[in-house]
Amino acid sequence: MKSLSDLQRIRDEAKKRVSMREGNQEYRIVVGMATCGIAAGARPVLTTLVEEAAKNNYPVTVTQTGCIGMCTLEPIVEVFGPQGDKTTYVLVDSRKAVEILEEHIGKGKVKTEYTVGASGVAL
Amino acid sequence: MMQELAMHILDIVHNSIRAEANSITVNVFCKKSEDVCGFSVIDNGIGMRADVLDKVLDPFFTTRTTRKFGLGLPLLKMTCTMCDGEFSITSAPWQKTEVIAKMKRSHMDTPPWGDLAQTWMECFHAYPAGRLIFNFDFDDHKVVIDSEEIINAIGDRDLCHDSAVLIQLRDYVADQITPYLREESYEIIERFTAHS
Repeated sequence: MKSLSDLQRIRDEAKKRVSMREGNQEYRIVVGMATCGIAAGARPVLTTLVEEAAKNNYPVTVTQTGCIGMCTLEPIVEVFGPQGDKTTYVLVDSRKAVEILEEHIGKGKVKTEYTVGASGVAL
Repeated sequence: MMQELAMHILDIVHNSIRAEANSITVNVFCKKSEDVCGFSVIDNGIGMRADVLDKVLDPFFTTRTTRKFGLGLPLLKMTCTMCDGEFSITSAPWQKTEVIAKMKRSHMDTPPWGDLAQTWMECFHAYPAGRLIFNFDFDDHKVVIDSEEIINAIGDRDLCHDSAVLIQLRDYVADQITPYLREESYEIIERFTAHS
């Protein structure tokens, strides 16, 4: 995209994509982006999630939040399913983010080994 | 500490978003003639009373309840002080809260800019409701990215947060600022080779 006038085209493409995945149930992914998250490497995780979601047209909205409260386990990624169920993934990096998208969003299977429950930290 | 100025910017903008500002302006500047670089973040959010303002640079102060520390501002101040720069924060509640961070451009410890286009995207993404203006002022190279213009051109606020649209917007911002930043990084490399 070279200028703002190209936005028209981008909008039309985006509308088409969004209508294509309508009917699919939407997931919501939340990335912790406070000082602790940023310092622990949440930026590349967010970038990967946004880029991969765009590339594969996953039915997912990626959003940011502040400090989730477990700074030592950052970067933290929360996945909210269509029924409102929440899965918390901890110590995420770009590679894990791709796997989470493929398994959890793509196939609907929770990637248990990356969850907070599997991290061995007593809460 | 933060490795890049782009990370500091993102961090400080998150403060403004949490302060419920409906307008945030980020000025990113670099002046070779004055040997200074840095950024400022201005918002019209809730602001801080004088007694709170006195405490924000204390690393053990935070208004949040999820953890006991607030490190963003103290870290930024440390970077400025370390790099022969200046740091200031002023606030008039619901009018103007301004954080200014300046560093000596040629100082060895001044962090590199990092991915500013990425930071723009993250700020835009985290702040769907308000107006976000980024002014890049690199000597004579000036670029303004106004979120209202972008949203008006797209005509749909929700679509702006579609992943594919975000990526394209980021690349657009990168196209605008990269020519200058490339020049800047060549200069840094030259400076370091001259030293060794």
